[in-house]
Amino acid sequence: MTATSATVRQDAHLTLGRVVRSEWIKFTSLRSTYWTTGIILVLWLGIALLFALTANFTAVGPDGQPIEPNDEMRQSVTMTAVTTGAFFGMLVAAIQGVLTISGEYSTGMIRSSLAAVPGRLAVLLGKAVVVFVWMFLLGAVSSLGAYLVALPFLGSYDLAVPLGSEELLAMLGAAAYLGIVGLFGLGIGTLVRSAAGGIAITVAVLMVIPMALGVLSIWIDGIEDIVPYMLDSAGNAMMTIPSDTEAALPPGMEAPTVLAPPVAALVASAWAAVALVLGALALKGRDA
Amino acid sequence: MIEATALSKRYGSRTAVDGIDFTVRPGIVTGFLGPNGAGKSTTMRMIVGLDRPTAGAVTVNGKAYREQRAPLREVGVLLDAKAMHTGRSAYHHLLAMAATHGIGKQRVNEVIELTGLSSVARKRVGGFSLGMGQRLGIAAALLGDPATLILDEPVNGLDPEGVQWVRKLVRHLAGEGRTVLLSSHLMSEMSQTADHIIVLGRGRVLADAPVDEIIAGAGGATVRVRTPRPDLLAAALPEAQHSTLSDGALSVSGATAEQVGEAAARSGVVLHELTPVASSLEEAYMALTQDEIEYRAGGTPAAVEETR
Ligand SMILES: Nc1ncnc2c1ncn2[C@@H]1O[C@H](COP(=O)(O)OP(=O)(O)OP(=O)(O)O)[C@@H](O)[C@H]1O
Ligand SMILES: [Mg+2]
Repeated sequence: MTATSATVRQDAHLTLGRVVRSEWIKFTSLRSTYWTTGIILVLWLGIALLFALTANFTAVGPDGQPIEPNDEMRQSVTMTAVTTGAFFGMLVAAIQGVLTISGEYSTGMIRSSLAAVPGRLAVLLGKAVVVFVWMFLLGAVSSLGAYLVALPFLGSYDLAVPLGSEELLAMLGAAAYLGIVGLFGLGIGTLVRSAAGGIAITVAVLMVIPMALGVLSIWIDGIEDIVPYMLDSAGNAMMTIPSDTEAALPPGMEAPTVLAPPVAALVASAWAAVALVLGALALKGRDA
Repeated sequence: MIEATALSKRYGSRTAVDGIDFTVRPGIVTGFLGPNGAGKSTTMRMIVGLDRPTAGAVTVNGKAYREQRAPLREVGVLLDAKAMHTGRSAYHHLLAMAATHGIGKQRVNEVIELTGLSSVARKRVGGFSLGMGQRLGIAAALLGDPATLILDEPVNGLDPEGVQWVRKLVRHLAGEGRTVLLSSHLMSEMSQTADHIIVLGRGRVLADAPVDEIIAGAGGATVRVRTPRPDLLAAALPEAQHSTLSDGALSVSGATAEQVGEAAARSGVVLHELTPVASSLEEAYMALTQDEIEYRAGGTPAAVEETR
């Protein structure tokens, strides 16, 4: 009955890499991780499938007659099938980000985590790496999966495009956006420490506020200039292939501003960075 | 070695720990006693950097805990509340904790074995009983084979076999030269386990001394005597205090059993009983803390009834 151990090396100590590994073990040893992952995959692929099945209705002109698809239309339809799921995925990814830390607060695990890593910031950094990598890969797998699921139907309507560099770049944008939204949730969750509060804030930022802004912009001038910088608009821009031809719009209507993908990626990253910095300050300063 | 200097913690207007100084030395078991709300758990959380002191400082082996390069090897801590995710298995909880320091699976399995958790290690912690959770907390504290152990009410919820196991374990660890600080409300357990006692009351140190001294300090041992002539015996022992117990026996303090016996022989008093009575840690503790109790129970139900 001895606790003295030869299996603990005398030089065992903390490193950042080890904290990341520890966070990976934590993340992958909870059922909720697999639930949110499954939900994102099923939603994303399901939406792609539904859209692809009904895509022949897209290829109808204003007069109700079928129109001959052109390349631009094929690309637009294909990418809609691939990326629409991201808008549901982002909510679940943000929730997973929140839960990754709020679950530690609600169960008391955070005290074990911070006692083992008293510098604290490494814990948040470790979680950030794990959440981003997981969500990025999940976004990549989901958008590729969505393409594969949609392809047979889109192909049968002559509405599919092969994956070229533009399409792959947009998919990369979708994957990166899922990771960024996960980070945003993690930052907010660290700041407010509760699942309910964290989820409320992230859903507000991703859905409620953009909708409200949309309505307000009808009455208040200048709001439409803010909209592209909202997290969800930036995310949308990240996975949109920029079109070089001006969309034909009725006179008097302006096309909504869509940021160029690299700018959009910066804007979205800034949202996540601000949330993470606020979370880090709170984590560092508060009693656990 | 744990050293606290002028350590204070306020939560809003409430002072939980009020400028305490103490040293917890290696090689012995130090017991941390005090009424509910005295500040024991708060002090322990400050030692491991979970709560930031409002004033003063505390170091472990000369360094602030937050600056330790290998915290788990320096200090193993069991906190009062469960500090683990209910959705994770005991094995993965320990594995994740160990991973931060590059401690491997082998050690994880070792502490699981040591704490008797082998059969439930793969089950989720949410379903654990109080005692199983407590064992897992102790397993986590032992992971890094630490030089210092801080255990907040470790026997809370343990079965008698577990209580005995903890007692042997901490005695053994102290015997190896480690520093052990543990709190408990079980006085009999504490008197068997600890060598040294620190008593807190309302955030202040009320006593900090070896167990024997604490006990002796509270009036020390008494002698129980039965004699048909208590008046003569009392006269023969002018230095000692005495009181009559409810069963008619005499309780003498300030004299040893030998002194009482010799005094009786000198003055020809017949004795029917002469028993040295060691005072208990519990009595000493009660005497020390009677003015420092914040959360006092309302007495027996009958007594409560009467005061209405
Ligand atoms: N996080 C907190 N916020 C506000 N007050 C707190 C906090 N933690 C502790 N306290 C207060 O500080 C005081 C000391 O509490 P602490 O838990 O340290 O006592 P304790 O000696 O461990 O008591 P017990 O024997 O009941 O475990 C109590 O009055 C408690 O209400
Ligand atoms: Mg306590």
